Order: sequence, then C-alpha cells, then structure tokens
Amino acid sequence: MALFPENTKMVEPPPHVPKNLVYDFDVEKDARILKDPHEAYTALHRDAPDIFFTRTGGGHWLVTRFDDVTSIMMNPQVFSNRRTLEPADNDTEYTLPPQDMDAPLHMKYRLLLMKFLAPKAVKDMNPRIRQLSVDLIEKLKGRNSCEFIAELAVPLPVQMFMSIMDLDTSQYKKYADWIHTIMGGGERTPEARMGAMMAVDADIERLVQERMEKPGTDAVSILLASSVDDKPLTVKRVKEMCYLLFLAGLDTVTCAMSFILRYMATHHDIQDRLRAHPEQISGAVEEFMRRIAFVNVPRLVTQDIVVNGVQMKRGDTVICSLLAASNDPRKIDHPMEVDLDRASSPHVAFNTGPHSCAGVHLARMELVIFLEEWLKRMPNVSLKPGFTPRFRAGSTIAMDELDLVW
Amino acid sequence: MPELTVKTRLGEEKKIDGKVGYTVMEAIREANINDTATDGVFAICGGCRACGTCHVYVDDASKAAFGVMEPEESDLLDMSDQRTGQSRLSCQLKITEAANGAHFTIAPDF
Repeated sequence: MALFPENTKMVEPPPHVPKNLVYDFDVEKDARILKDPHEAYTALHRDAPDIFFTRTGGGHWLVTRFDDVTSIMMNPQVFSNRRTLEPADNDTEYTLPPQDMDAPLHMKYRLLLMKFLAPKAVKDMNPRIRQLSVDLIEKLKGRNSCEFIAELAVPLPVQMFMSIMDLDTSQYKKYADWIHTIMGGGERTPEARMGAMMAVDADIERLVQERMEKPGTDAVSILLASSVDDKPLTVKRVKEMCYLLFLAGLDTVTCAMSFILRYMATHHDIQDRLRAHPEQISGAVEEFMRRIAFVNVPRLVTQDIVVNGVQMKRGDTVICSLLAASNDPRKIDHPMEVDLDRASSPHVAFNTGPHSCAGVHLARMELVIFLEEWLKRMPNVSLKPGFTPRFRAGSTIAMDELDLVW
Repeated sequence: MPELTVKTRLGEEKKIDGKVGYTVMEAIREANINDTATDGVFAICGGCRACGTCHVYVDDASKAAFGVMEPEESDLLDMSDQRTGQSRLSCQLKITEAANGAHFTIAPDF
C-alpha cells in the first residue's frame, strides 16, 4: 500500500539537508525493492548514510538503523503520528485511529483495542486458529504443490479477523479480494483501489448499523459500547477504528506467513529441526519476524531535533524502515541468516514505543499455531523450480504469489 | 550496583545487575533473559507504558523499594488474566540502591 498516495512528487531537498545526505530511494516503487525488498533495504546499510534524505515521495528522511529507529519511536512528542502539524483533539478527523493519534488521546483508544487484542482476550481464539489452520492444510492432502498465499496465507488471517468481528466467514473471498486490491496487489488500477475502499466502507457501515441494533460480543459491539473521557464513541469513530483493524490486521499476517514459508522453502534444515522440535517454534517465530520484517512507518517531525548527527526540522517527514532496522549488522550478527541458536533476536518487526503493534499477541499466536500444524502435516517444501517472486513496495512489503512444491 | 533476582518463565532463578536510574524491565532485557522461547513478547513498547508485556510479580518483601502504581499502569495490568496483588509492569519500577536483593518473577503472558 502506498505510504503517501497524495504525494508522489520528486522534490529538491530543503536547505537544512546537506548534499552528502541526499540519496534517492523510492519506497513506493524503487526497482531494487521490487526485485528483492530485503536485499534492497539491507543494502542501504552499505550504500547509503544511516539516515538519508530521498527526493522521492514528496521528499522525506529514511532511517535504517536499529538504534535510530528505536530512539525515534520512543520519542513520540517530537515524532508525531499525525499527518499535519495542526493541533488535534478528540473531535478532529482521523483516518485510522488510534494509529494516527498522539498522546494523551492515543492511549485511551489503544486500551479499547486491547479489550479484544490483549493476551487474555486472544487466548480464547487458540482453538479457532488451530481448527482453521488444520482445515486449510488438510485441503492439500494428495497434492504436491500449492500457491501458498491464496490457499493459506490469505484465508487464515482473513477468517480469523472475520471471527473477531463476528462476520460470516463463508464470505471470506470477498474480503480477501478487497484487502488485496487496496494494498496494491496484482495489476490493480487506482479506480479498482478506490472501488474496493468504497466497498469496505459500505460494508463497515452496514456492520456498524447491524451491531447497533443487535449488539453481540464481537469487536464492533465492544467498541460501540465503549467510552473515552466518559463520552461514548461516535459511530463515525467506531467506523474509523474498524477500518484500521481491517487494514492493519489482514495483510500483515499474510505477509509474515508467506515470507516465513519462502525462507523455510530454501532452508530444509530449519523445517527438519522445527518438525523434530516443535517446542522451538515459538522462539523461531521471533527470529523469523526479525529477519523478514516488512513494514515502513512514517512520522512527522514537530520540533527541530538532531538524530544521530542529522539535523531534522519541524515539518519534515521521516520514514523508519523496520525491515532495515531489524537486520542492522550493528545490532545483530549475520542478520540475514535465520539463526535459531541466537541468545536473543532483538527486532522492531512489530515496531516499538507507544504505537507498537497492538495485535502482536494474535499475530504471534496465528504464526506459531499455523507452523505447528503445518510442520506436523507437511513434508519439506521447496520453491517451485523457476519460481520468481513478484513484490509490492510501500508501507507494507508483500509478495503476490508463492509457489511451493513437495 | 544493586543485584536483582529474576525467576524466568522457565522457572530458572537468575541474578542480574540493576543499574541505578534504569528500570527493572531494562535490567531484565540487558541480561538477555529471553523468554520468548516459551511464550509472549517482552516489553514490545520499549517501556512507555503502552503494551503491558513486561508484567512481573514483585515479592512482598521487595515491594517497598519501588514507587506506587499509577492508574495507567493498573489499566494495562487489568488486561491480563495473570494479575495478582504482586503484579507490576517492570518498566515502571525504577531501580534505586534500595532495590538491592529484590526478587521478581516474570508473569506468564497467557
């Protein structure tokens, strides 16, 4: 998905940007990213300054080092999640609350999401995730190939999400197609993307109306019954939050599953080891997530600040590459290798700071349970000979297909 | 430097250094106590009181060494099934000399 769909212009750097810090790298469509995103972003550690200014996408900083990304994410007073410098309050228009909110409002809304995303809530979803995983994997019985993304990596998280929202899971293909189109998959046109966004909007509208009339125990009903500062959430705010859940909760788990399987398909030793030691899968997921991190996070600079020797000014835009930061050789040895024997796997694949992923527990649980059931039922899988992945760039780096054989 | 004792989710007791001025969460992380091998994520928000994943139990005898709980910390602890009278978020526990000898147990996530 595009980070700044409204701003694709190439601009000259502002006067406070020194020439030696200018390095062009178009996060939306650089040919290097589309060829191999993990290679492209980690090559920046070698080829570009730690923090550089790219003239693409309206002109912005790009941050690639673990320590710099962490210090920015831990300093939300200076690095705002808002898209404009205008002061905001509870009545302000938000696109994806609480993602685009700042303190103190952000935390009040985040706590509402935790009502259904905290470990206590997610724990009850364990049997459902396991059943969905088993059902999807069992469909591969008697075959020797699959297109992993359409057959497994999309249906599992989409159906889980639909369960949380208490939606009819038999409709999952419709949702999967919308999210794929919005995220920029395939050869979809801007018109198709707009159409999908409007369809999602209409569906959320319908869903909210339905739950207002007949509340249940699902996420939408929970939000509709919630208050911030003793004021019940407006229908508009609930819709905005549903939209965030839809965008943040679906494509990301799909990406994680597909990048993990792509890595395992070329590393049979890891498949052997985790099949023999399923108790190591949980730790392995953390190391996989570090290696395959795929999200870019934007921030708006609200006051002049120096980061790692770089002068940033109020109004600058910063993009932090969680992919590059999680594979920073200054933080971790041989980062591009999934090493299951590391003492720890420090990473920011789920980001850090107040805006770190609120769905992390659900995401990890889906990944762990899926891998447990996959390795139990499947022989070692490989990439289909001649398979060349097609990637998507932007805020989430994704693959379009993953052809596996066994 | 104050010495802290931490019982991991695997049941192992470890003695770790606690730098004065830092938090117990940072001390646990510095000591590479990596409990993700069993479950959960440790301190994903980095200590800004936003995630509730650095939940520990503080031994009764060690409680007095740390400040009182603010409502925001309590809100987050309410999100856990594992909350007890000893529950604290370790990112909110500032280490002072008084913390020497304190005992903690890392709470289960689920």
